[in-house]
This record gives sequence, structure tokens and C-alpha cells, in this order.
Amino acid sequence: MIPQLILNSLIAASIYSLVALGFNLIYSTTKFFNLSHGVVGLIGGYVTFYFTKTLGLEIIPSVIVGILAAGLCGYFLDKLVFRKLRNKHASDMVFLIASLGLMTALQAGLAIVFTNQFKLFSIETKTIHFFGLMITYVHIMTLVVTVIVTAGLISLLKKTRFGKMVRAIGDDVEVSTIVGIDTNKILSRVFFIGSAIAGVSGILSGLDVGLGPNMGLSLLLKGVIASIIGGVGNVYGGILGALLLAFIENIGAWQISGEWKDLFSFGLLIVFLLFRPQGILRK
Amino acid sequence: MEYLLHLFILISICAILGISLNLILGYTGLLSITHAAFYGIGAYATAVMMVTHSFPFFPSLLAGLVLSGIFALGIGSILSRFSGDYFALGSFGFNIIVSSLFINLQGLTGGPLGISGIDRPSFFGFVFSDRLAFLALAIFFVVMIYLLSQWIVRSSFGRTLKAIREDEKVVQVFGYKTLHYKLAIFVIGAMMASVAGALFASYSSYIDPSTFDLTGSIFVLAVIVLGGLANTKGAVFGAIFLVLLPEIFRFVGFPSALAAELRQVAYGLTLVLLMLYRPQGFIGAYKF
Amino acid sequence: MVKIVVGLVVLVLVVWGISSRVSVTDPQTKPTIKIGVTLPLTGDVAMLGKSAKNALELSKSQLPPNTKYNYELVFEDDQFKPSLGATTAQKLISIDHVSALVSFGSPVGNVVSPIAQNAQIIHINDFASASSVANGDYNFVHYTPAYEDSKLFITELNKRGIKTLVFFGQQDNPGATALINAFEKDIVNTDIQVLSVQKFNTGTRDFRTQIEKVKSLNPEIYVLEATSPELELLTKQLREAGITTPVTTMEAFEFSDQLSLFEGMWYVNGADPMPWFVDLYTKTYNESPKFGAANAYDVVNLIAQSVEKVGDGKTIPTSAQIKQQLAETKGFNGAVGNNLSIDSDGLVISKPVVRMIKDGKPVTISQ
Repeated sequence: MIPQLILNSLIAASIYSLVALGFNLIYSTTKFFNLSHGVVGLIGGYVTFYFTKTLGLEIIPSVIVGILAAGLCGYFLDKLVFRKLRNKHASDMVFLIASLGLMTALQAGLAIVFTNQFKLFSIETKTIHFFGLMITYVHIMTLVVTVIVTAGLISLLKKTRFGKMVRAIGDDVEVSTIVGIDTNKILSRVFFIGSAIAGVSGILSGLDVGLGPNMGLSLLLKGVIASIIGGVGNVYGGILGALLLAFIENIGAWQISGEWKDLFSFGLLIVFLLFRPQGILRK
Repeated sequence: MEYLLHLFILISICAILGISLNLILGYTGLLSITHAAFYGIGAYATAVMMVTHSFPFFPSLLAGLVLSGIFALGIGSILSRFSGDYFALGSFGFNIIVSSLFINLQGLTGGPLGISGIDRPSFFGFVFSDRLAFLALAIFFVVMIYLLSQWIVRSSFGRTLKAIREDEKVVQVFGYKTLHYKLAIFVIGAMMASVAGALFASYSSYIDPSTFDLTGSIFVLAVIVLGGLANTKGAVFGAIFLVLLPEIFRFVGFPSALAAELRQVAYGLTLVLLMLYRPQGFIGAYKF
Repeated sequence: MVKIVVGLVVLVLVVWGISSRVSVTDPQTKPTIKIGVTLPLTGDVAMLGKSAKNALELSKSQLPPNTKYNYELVFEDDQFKPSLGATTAQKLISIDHVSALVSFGSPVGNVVSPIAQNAQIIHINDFASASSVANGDYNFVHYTPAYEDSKLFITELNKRGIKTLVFFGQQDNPGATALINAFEKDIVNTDIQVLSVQKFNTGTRDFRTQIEKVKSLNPEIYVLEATSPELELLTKQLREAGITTPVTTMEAFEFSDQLSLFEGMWYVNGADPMPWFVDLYTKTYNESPKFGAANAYDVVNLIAQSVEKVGDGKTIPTSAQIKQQLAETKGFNGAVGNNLSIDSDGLVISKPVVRMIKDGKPVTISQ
């Protein structure tokens, strides 16, 4: 039982860390908590669902379309809303409230277009049993994809010129502009990449348990908690935070009861806010 | 006519929520996204007292006041150490915890099925059973809370709050323990919200957790941002506007399920557009 | 700014004023009885709600032309959610001024009942297993009660020699709770054992931890009391965990439109519709009726029959009169069976059946 618990936690942690990854990327550069992050990821899931189930496209191209859709969505939100607010030097509160408004409107929009009915990709189950553990194909994909995306993002940030510019903006936006970096262009790309990663998590989550319009919020919250307890703005922190969160949740569900899962997640957040608000790892 | 009275009662309850959040957010600058939780604590306390223990309305309302005050004290002392984004996120989390409690403490709250059969208030034999009487009661509370809010704002306590909003560090340098001020106004605002909850529970006779979750908090936020932060009148205008606006959907004939989602789209877009083009809202007392 | 707000308020008042004037009462000879119906027309259970709506409309169209009254159905959508059900019921009562309310399922029914009782309007729920929905003399339920399901279920378990079970119950669904409670009461002096009851809330998507917990208990059968989509997710995750044990239910399988998940499984279901109803419905709508539709069909007749008996054709009878007549209904021939009666608790007693999914379709295998 314990090994299965660990495996389940790893899988949950993968999804959470993907959300945290994109969220942290956006936060480290723009310095605000983008609350629309989760619903944008969910849009990726819904688009994939639409293409594969309604239009009948094969699963892999549908997934690619879904990821692109999520990325584009983030890109446009930046272009239409966040960039304008940046140009006005709006305060953090304004950004937060604007992203909150976007989250509300987009989530309701999904419910209108796709209805409130929960959507399942398939009812088939393909599991592999090994060493007394069991894991589904979707779970294996989740683990593999998470590793690939994380490694990809880290090398992007560390090894490319683009990554350097991203980090520069994260350190000091004004100096970066003075030095000649086209901050708006880089930030657009950051939004695209971050949102695309969120899209991946939305799709993987959808493939595992299905899609509902309010899943964007739960994805977001888990990602946010993972980011904060791991250390906001720190890529590795997000991963650590995700692991810790997933373990605590699963242990809690095991020992006490499944319905209190949300309580554990937020209880953990409050504990960290009380004792170590900067998170496990510093930036 | 009945329908109009119904709308006015909803506006009154909403106005109380707006005025109280305004004290916390508009005047003190604390982005609290958990106001619906205190609304809910007031509603559930009233419902449980009245239905399970057969207490009359006014003592139940008092119980709700005390309970939300205690909760506010608890979470407030943690959150007051922060400001800005962390305060917001922490409050977000608190709202979810409270929602989770409403849903899972089924023995107490009835869980997702809610509590039904809540009576109208009675006062020394007079029962506020018809809408007009209840509206009078609601307006009474609105006026009291409005006056209380104005009194706070005009006092030196209120001036300190505004100063904290503008620059907390400077205020601390002058020797003020800002933590205490922030906590105090948070608790006061929460207690006022619980009054709205008690009124709502008694009016609609049935409550369930879905009214008091994050969407509820976002709605109250939209109300005061629309009306204009840091202005008590603004909160009232915001309440009038945001309660009446979706009724237009009903008249145009949208099916009720779609109307609920459209309402959400409207609230969300309202917030975004306001942030983009007029963050100071209708009245425009505070541009943030 | 103030002007805009005032203008808006005036606009709303004007529109409302006009719209209430437009509903002029036709100078017709027959008064109209309005029946308010709240159903899940969208959301996860929409499939069942729409079928019930069809059945209600069909029933109304089949009323003889020489009735003393006209009957009008007013529909509202509640998405099977109690919170929406409360709002729709209130709206139907205070804005549409209906003479009778119809609701669907235990979660909404449970909430509408106290509202109907308070407003003293008769309320019939079709589809509630929880008899608590019939509390109060204005409330009636036209569905096989939980205790009937439980009795038949035990009989079937004994027939198949099954002694150990594990229940998965959606605890915020009063129907599911009523069924589980009835069963646990009925097995008290038997050798049938419930090894565990795993409870979860609506909205749960991940059952894996709970499944892990009960896997080692090795029951001979798993009983699932859940609605869509929890039902499908739970079944899928049970299979993913490598559990090949059969699953069964009282009432729940037909909530799903993915019946192939339960291929070969037997289960207990509410009363079967009469063949003439199935034919009539299929001819009219080109598809077979879903579970609960037959009961909905009867509801219109139950109300109409009572109204016709007490009404004089000139004024609308009072709720108290209709209620009294309805409560005395005996020997009613409906789409769910012949010779049905309403008992003193306000329940229409109909008998459950045992069904099995064969080739993705439900087939009744015994009564």
C-alpha cells in the first residue's frame, strides 16, 4: 500500500509541478500572481477534447492543437490585458483583480460552450502491473512528459540567450529595458510558454479523470500552493512544493478521509505562511 | 411588486457586504478575497441556531456575529502580517477551507444539501413574514451599518487605516502597531458580513455551501470595485448595479442555466474592463 | 454616474411593468392549471431530465379534450443541484403562481419539499428513492421506495449466494443514503455482511486511495451508489486497480450513458415501464424512454385526475382540495404499472425489478 501511495503522489505531484512551472515562470518575470493561469491550462484540455472527440482527429495531433491553443490564449491575454496594464504601471492589486476577472469570465465561457457536463475522454482502462503496483498509460505519460518539459524549460532558461533575457527581466525590469531588451516581446513569449505548459497539465489531467469547467480553479490552486511552499519564482521550488503537497494530500486522504483533501492542501499553505512564508527554497 | 421587493432585499444584503468589504479593501488596502466566507458563517450560524436549536432570529444573528468575529480573529492574525499578493492568496485559501468545512461537516451544516426551513425573524410577537416588512428590517440594518462605516472612516482610527493603505512602513515608523489596526478592521468587516448572512438565511429559508464560495467573494469584490473603492456610497451603487444587471438577462428570456453562466461572464468582464479603463470605479474616490 | 444608475433602475421597472401587463388572462371558457416542473435539463444528468420532460409533454398531449381545465407545464432547469432546485421552486411558486410542483430526484426533491409544504402547494417528485421527500401532507413521491429495492436486492443476493459486500456511497445524495440505510437495516439478522461503506462527496474525481483501502477486504461484490460522472470514474478506477470483482447497484447504473461499462452485471432497478408506454414514447420521440420517464408520464395524470374530480370547471380548486383528492388515489393505472395507490406516507408504491446489462442495453431478468 505504501509504495502505491508514493506512486500516486508522484503522479499528482507531476501535474501540480507542471502548473507551478508555468505559474512561476510568469510570476518571476511579471511579479504578479496570474490567477487566470489555471483556466488557460484547462482550455488546452477542452480544445484537445473537442478535436479528438467531436471532430474525430487522432489523439496526438489533438494534443498538439490543445497545447498551442493554451499557449495562444495566454499570449492573447497578455497582449490584450496585461501588457496594457504594464504600460500604465498598474499596481499589483490591479493585475490580481484583472486576472481574477479573466478567470471568472473564461471559466463561465467554457461552461457555456462545453456545458457543465463532465467530459470523459474514454472509459477504457489500460493498466500495467509491476512489483505489485499498478499504473495506467496516462500516468506513465504524465511522469515522462513532466520530466521532459521540466528539463526542457530549465535548459531553456539556463542555456539560451532567451533564457538569459528572461532572467534579466526577472531581476530588474527597468534595467533590462535600458539595456535594450524588448521586454514586451520577451514577456509575450513567456506567457505563451507558461500557458502552453499549463495546457499540458490540463490535457494530462483531463485524460486521467476527465474535464469539468471548474477544474481550472483547482489546478491553479494546487499550482499556487506548490509554488508558495516551494518558494515563489524558483523553478526547483515549484517541483519541491508539488512533491510535498501531493504527499501530504495523499497521506491525509489515506489516514483520515478523502473529502478533506482540500482542507489539507490549504492547511499546509497556512502553516507555511505562518512559519516560512518565503517557501522552502529562496529565489 | 413582489418581485421588485425581492430585488430590493437582495440589493440591501449585497450593500451590507459591499460596505463591509470596502472598509477592509477600499480604506485599508487589504485585498481580501474571502468575504463570502464570513457571509456564510453568519448564515450558517443563524440557520443552525434557528432550525436545530429553535432559537429566535436576533439571538441567532448575535451568535453569527460572535462566530465570524472569532474566525476573523484567527485567520486575520495570520494574514495581517502580510499585505498585497500574499494577503490575497492567503484569504483565497481561507475561503476554500471554510467552503470545505461547510460541505464536509455534514452533521452540522447538512453538507451540500444545505439547511432548509429557516423561519423569518420574529420580534416580540411580530413576524417579518411578508416581503415589505422584511425589506424594512433589511434597510434598517443597511442604514445602521452605513452609519457605522461612515463613523469609522471619519474617525482618527479611519485616518490611520487610510494611511496604512498608502504607505504602511511610514505609519509603523510613527509608532503605530499597524498589525492591530489591520486585524481590527478585518474583524469588524467580517462581523458586518455575518449580519448580511443572517438576513439572507432568514429571507431565502434555504442555504447551501455554493452561495458562500470563492465566486461569492469575487462577486462582492466586483461590487465595490465597480462602485468605487473607499467610498461607502459607491458600495451601495455597486450593489444596485450588479444585482439589477443580470435581471435584464431574465427579461430577454435566457434559459436560467445559461443566465447563471452569463452572469459570471459579466462579472468577470466587468472587473477586467474596470481594471483596464477605470480602476477607480463609478465614484472614483481612490485610484489604486 | 448617479444618472446612469437611476436610468437603469427606471429601465428595469418599465420593462418589468410592461411584461406583467402583457400576460393578460384570455377570456377563455376553461381556466388553466399551471404545473411547475423543475428538472435537470442541463448538467451531468441532463439525459434523464430531458427524457422526463418529453414524457410530461407526451402525457399532457394525451389528455382527453373534454377536461374541465386546461393544463400548462412550466419548465425550469435545476441541473440536479439542490441549490438551483430551491431557486427554481421559489420562482415557480411566486412568479408563475403554479398550482402544483413537480421535481425530479432526491437531492432536489428534499429541498423542494419543505418549500412546497410551507407554501401549501402540492408537490410530486418522480425519481426519489428517499421517502423523506414525501414528508408533509403536500408532498408525494412516485417512485419505487428504497425499502422495496432493498428487499429485492437481498433476495437476489441470497439467490446468488453472495455474502460479503463493499459499498461506495455518494453521501450528499439522499437517494443513495436512503438505499444504503434501508439495506443495512434489512440485513441485521441475516448472514450478509457489509465489509465497508466508503463515502464520498459529489465532485470527487479520484477514488484511488479509497479503492486501495478496501481492495484487501476482498468482497464478493461491490455496490456502487453514485450518479454520473462519479459512477463511471469509480468503475473505471476499480478496473484500473486490477479489481475484476463484479459491481452492482440499486438504481444507479441507468444514470450513465456508457452502459457497456457494466456489461454482464445484474442490478436492482425501479419499476419497469409498461410496454404500451414504451411503444408510445418510442413512436413519438424515435428513441426509447430513459429511466424515470414513465413515472413522469404518470405525474400529469395523477394531478389532472385529482383536479378534474374536485374542480368545478369555473374556478381553480384550492391546493388543499387537490391535495386531499390526490392522497386518496387508489387503483390508478399508470405507465409504471396497473392498480397503483398512494399510501398514507404520500408514496406511490411500485415494485422494483432485477435487470442485467446485455449488449450494452438493460434487460429485465426477474421481478
